[in-house]
Amino acid sequence: MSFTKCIPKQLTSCSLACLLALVSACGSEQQPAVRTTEADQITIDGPAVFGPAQRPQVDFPHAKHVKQLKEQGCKECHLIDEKGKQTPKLKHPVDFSAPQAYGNYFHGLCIGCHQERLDKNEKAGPVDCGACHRRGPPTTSLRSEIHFDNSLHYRHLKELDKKCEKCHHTYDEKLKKLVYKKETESACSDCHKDVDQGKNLSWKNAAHTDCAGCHVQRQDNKQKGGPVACVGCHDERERAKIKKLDKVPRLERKQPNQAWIHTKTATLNIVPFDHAAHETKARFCTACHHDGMKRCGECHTLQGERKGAGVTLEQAQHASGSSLACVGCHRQESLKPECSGCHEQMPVPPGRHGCVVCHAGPLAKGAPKQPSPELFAEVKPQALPETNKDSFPDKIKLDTGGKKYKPTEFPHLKIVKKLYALAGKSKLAARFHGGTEVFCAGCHHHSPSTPGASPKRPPSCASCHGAKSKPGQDLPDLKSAYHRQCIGCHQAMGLETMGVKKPFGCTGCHKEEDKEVAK
Amino acid sequence: MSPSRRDFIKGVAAGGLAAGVARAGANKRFDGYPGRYGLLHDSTLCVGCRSCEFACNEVNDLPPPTAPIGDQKIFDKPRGPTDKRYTVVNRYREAQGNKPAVYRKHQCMHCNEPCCASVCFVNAFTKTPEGPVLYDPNVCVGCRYCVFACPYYALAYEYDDPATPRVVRCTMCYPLIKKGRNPACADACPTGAVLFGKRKELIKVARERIRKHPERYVDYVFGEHDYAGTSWLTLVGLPLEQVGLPAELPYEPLPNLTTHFLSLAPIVAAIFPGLLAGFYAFSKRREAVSEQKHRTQLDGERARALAELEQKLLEAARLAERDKQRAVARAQRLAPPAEKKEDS
Repeated sequence: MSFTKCIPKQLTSCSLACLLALVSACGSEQQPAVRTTEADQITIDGPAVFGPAQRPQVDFPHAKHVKQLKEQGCKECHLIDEKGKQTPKLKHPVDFSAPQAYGNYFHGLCIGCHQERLDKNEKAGPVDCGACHRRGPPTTSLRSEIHFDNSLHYRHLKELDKKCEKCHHTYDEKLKKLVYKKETESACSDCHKDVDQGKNLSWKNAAHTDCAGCHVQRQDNKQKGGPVACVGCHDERERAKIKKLDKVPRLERKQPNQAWIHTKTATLNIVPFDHAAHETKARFCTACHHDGMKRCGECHTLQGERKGAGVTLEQAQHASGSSLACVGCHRQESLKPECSGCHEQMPVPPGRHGCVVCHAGPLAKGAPKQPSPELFAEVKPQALPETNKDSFPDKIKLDTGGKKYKPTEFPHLKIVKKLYALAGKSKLAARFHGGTEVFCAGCHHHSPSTPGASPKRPPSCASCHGAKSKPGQDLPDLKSAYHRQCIGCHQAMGLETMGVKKPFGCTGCHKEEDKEVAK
Repeated sequence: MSPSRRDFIKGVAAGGLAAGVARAGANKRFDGYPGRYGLLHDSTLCVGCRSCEFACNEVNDLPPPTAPIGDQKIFDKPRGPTDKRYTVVNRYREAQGNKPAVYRKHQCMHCNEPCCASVCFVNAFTKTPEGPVLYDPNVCVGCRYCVFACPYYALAYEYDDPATPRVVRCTMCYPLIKKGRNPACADACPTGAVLFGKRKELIKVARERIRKHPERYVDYVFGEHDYAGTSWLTLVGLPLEQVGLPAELPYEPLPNLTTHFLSLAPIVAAIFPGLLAGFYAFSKRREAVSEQKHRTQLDGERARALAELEQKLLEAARLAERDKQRAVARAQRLAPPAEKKEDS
């Protein structure tokens, strides 16, 4: 009985699904799969707990409303708090009590205003359902977050006459209010987390109250100020217009210039750390101090504890996959186009010579309190040796005995000079490419690279790569080795983006044998 | 002399034991021919020069590709293997800045459990101990089941040859392998993106490359286990779907989906006629029996009805007789006065 009952049901659902698929297939031909919305468009959608809505979401064009309501200002919709500060909160709090109430709230607000304006014969938005609740493909927004970097921070500092208390504050438990304590400044996100916690606003709300609120206030007072429109901070194209300082003066928070990085039980030589130099390179303090301005070891203990999310001190400093770790950040730096020619092909973690470049201090026991300045002296690249046909050739003929193409001439010296110049440009690169042998190891990858122990001439490609590959050892043959090294480096450096014309196709490097004969 | 009962039991026991041993043998796993060859295509090393296409066509006596090496227009549309090209290189992402373009070579994968062989009813396909799956055009009847069965769309058919059309596909350069040489594409590849060797060793090489360069590769060797594995292994730098490979394929060989089911066909063919005949006979017999029963029942009914009728008649006769007697008796009772009257 139940079987016969379910057959027609299944059949109908089947045919329905087919019909739906057919309809959606027809629709997809006309409309793009994804709709892109501007950074200022706010999606108004019911909370997930209300379940699926009757009608699609509303993409609220914020900029359009700001433009229309220029005279009335933000306060037309948004709340002004008791201190007279513009907040991002809506004037009337949203009614989340029930789906019906939620809908009525927005309908009353939007349609009420639109209708009012229509009655006055003013320009107004739509009052019919479909004009706001538009059906269409899923949307992706151009909206992205702004990063408050060193440059932007300093520009604010200068504009506000170094009055840190204008933005920085901490909550005093005893006084039950916000106070400012000099030299305890921290990042906003250290306290303002993802969601509102009582009076402690979420990161998003805090930024829109303090940042956007101040910008609006300054605009109203006809003062110089930051962007007030959504796109000013949240659209990448608009953000590109924000002025960037080339040289940002150092922040003053009693941070050390130079310090040791070490633990008491360390057996390896301890690490002299140039905090001041890293400040200029990092985007902001939070690039390393990701949860408060603390030392790494305060949360990341040797054993790894809950407060450090289980990450040990060793991992916190050596994890090659995390940009918060020393090695990870350096690894990312090494994958920039100008470095990645050599580094992209190197396995992770890179070379054996790496440890001592950082662990350059004395042993922990008996180390002086402060690292000596000599440890931070800039490393100058060693002078290149004289070109010599045997040990340091100018040009190398690359020949694998192929029949179709002629051998090519490899401009050894030209390439070395170019890469040498690139490495010399960066302090980080200069330090890590101490000796020429380290530098040579970019191509001569298995030659001994321990400083001082290298032979005068690193082995040539043909020293290891024979005519036939040995799959068991994953050792490519000479032809493959040449091509992988050259093409791999050209690709990884993105030569065109660096303004260098890349050899294209086979004949970019080789001459064809047949054509030569024909000539 | 006929065998004694004891001899018969002995024989049955021995037979049963032998069957048991045989079954134990079939229960062992077969991981494919040991030491068979394979090819590893590292798509992150492929530079899209299509040297493999040229070498393949040369070795297989096909016309050389029309587009020269370095022609980028050829990559605008994805191509598949045809009867004029057994292998193709397709581009799946264009170069952006220092991110190189992504290419992948495609051809017959030389499955460990080939689908083409499983659907072929004339056994035109053979999985050789060396790895390649070979095709015999002499027995092929041209049904092209294999072309449709291939999960990698790697087989083509010579539609423009009216006389002796064949199914065509990569042969993994079987003649060259037999001579101890590498397949043509592996030798032609300038970057060594195609590596020929023992399949087992290639898997180790692939795993080692992934271990050394976790940023460069997707942690997956396509062809190691997909549909029980293929001779061609592929390393990819983008998710499989983005380089035109099917993702999340089961480890189960594809032919298993049908062979178990289709292996029942002989049983069905053998048993069904008898079974159906039995059903027919049974239903016929049932019909006959019920007919018989019905008839007996009818006869009984009739007899009973007749008997009842007779009874009724007898009863009626008896009643009539009684009425008659009563009438006579009444008449007799009334008669004397009349006589008296007459008399008087």
